[in-house]
Amino acid sequence: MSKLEALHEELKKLIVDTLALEGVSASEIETDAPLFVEGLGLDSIDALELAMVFEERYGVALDDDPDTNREIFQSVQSLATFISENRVE
Amino acid sequence: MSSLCDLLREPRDPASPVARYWDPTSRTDRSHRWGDFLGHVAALQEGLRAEPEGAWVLLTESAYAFAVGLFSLWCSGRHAVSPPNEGPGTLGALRARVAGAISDRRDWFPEGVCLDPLSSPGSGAPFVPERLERDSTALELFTSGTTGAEKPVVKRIRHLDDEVKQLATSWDGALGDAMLFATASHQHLYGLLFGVLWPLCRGRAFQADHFLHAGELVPRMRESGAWALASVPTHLKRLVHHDHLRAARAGCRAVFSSGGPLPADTAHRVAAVLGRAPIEVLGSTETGGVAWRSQELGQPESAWTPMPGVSITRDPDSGVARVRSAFVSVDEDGHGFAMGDRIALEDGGRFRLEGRSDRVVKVGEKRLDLVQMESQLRGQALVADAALVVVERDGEPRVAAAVVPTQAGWALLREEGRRGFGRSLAAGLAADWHPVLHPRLLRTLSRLPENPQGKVTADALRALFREPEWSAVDRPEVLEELRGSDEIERVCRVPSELSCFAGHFPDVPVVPGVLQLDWAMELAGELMDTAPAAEAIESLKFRAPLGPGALFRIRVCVARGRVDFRLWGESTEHAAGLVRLATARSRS
Repeated sequence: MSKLEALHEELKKLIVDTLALEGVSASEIETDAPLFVEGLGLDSIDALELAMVFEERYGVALDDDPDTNREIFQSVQSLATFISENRVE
Repeated sequence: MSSLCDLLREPRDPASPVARYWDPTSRTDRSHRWGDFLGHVAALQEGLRAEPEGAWVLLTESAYAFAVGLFSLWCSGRHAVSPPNEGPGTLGALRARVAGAISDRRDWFPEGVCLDPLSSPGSGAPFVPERLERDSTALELFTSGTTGAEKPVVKRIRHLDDEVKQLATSWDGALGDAMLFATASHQHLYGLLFGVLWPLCRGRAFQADHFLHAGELVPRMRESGAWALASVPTHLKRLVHHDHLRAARAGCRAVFSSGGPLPADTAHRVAAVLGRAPIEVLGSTETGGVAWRSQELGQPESAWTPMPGVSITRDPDSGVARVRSAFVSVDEDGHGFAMGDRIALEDGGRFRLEGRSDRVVKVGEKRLDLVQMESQLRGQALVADAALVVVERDGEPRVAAAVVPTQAGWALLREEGRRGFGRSLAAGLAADWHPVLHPRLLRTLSRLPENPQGKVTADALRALFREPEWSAVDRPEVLEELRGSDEIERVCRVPSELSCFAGHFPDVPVVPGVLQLDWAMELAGELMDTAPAAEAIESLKFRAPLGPGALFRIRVCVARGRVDFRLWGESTEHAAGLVRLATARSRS
């Protein structure tokens, strides 16, 4: 498993745990599937909750550009890319 | 300060800013100015005059587009219907009773007429708006459904106009030229009044977009110099979780919160971070804002003060607040609108909230105050937050509990499962309530299902319990444990309600391999006291399937940067593997 793949798995677990998604296990989340509305069906409050956890754990802050943020939250894959490029160890 | 009736007729500098908006094409923030606003309204109202009269659905992402739609409808003798949500079912049901829709999201209206508020062609003919009649119908809104089904509420121009004037009387001084930011949607009364109509009448600019993240809000607040925020408890709780907002502290003129009571610790944190205690507004779709309070640090929980021009009395029979004011739009019997909140009056007309009146129910012929039981549950060590609702099971009303566990609660859930957790909750209730009133259905969640207005509605709670005995169990029951310094061995049983069985081979339910790996890594995490980061799986074997009810042993050993694990039953090995860990890093 590459580092990025490991981060994918870590994020899936974090999403399921943070949002306590009922009936969804981390392994069911597809890496490149949309997280919001049509995919996992997350909403704007879920996004706030996740942004908070990512910030605490990885020290990453969101941009002031709402379209960039939408792209970041597109999927586990885009989140992992953003976090791996911006994380503060 | 303009009246809504004359707003479009006011002489105003065409260059004065009305709304800031994010332009995705140039990827910059830009301004709609007064001249643009008049132009947009002129064109859209022309387009509307070519269409049928009556009610029009108005549903937009942009608060500015909503303002354009609203004034265009009013100028052309029509009125707006603000749907309670954008679900296709809701919009489909409305279609039969409206002439068409105005929206910046055509995809929400696949059928029927849909006009884009900002791109009507318009003839360029001079636009001479008439004075709006105070008594004409302005807007249909829907109650948020705290008490049940959504009900339409009709607002006339005067209801909105009087309330805007009252907001101006109360807080214009504090706000000055502050730019209005709103996390609350303009589709509901609070967000519309605070975030759109009040700034528009007063000549303040507002943000057309509802930014929710500190990363998006703070730079824009700083850029605007002075700012005010109309938010809801759900958003505020998270916005002040970190100190980011502190960077915008210098320009903060006011923070408003409405939609539900703000927890005292959130209120205090807002005050600490931004230097101003939030102003909480109590109200409803039917009454508009009726009272306000500010929770100051070190003060006992503060009472609510009625807004100027609002009279609040306590109904002697039910104990609920009765509201009389110019902008109560529903007052059937002339005795004031009865809110769902029970109150206790204090000196000087101030009052305290004593819970919702609709929260007293009968279950098994016994009376239960849901508010009391919720507050008792919140006092239990296992419970961080709780909300109750009555649902019907086999024709019987039953108490159902949505619970946000504390860390100790999650630990107990892991150890004893939902049943054990439920038994523990019930033990805590036994002294005060008959067993028939104890929650029979239980959902454990990381947060309660708040709607975008920050309310935990009865509908959202009921939705949690719609699926019978639905379960999020994803861990084995632990029967026995042996623990060394770098090794754990457990005897476990696979719970038959394991959530993954729902979709995993319906005829032959098995525990997926990845889940077995998860269990092993979770135990490794307990040994290491931190979440292990896997770098590579060096070996992994799944030999025999593991089914519901099966007894098995799991042993996990962490040594030399590797997790070595094995799952086996009485006569078979189920799985074994070796996972290399990423080099430990320090976390800040």
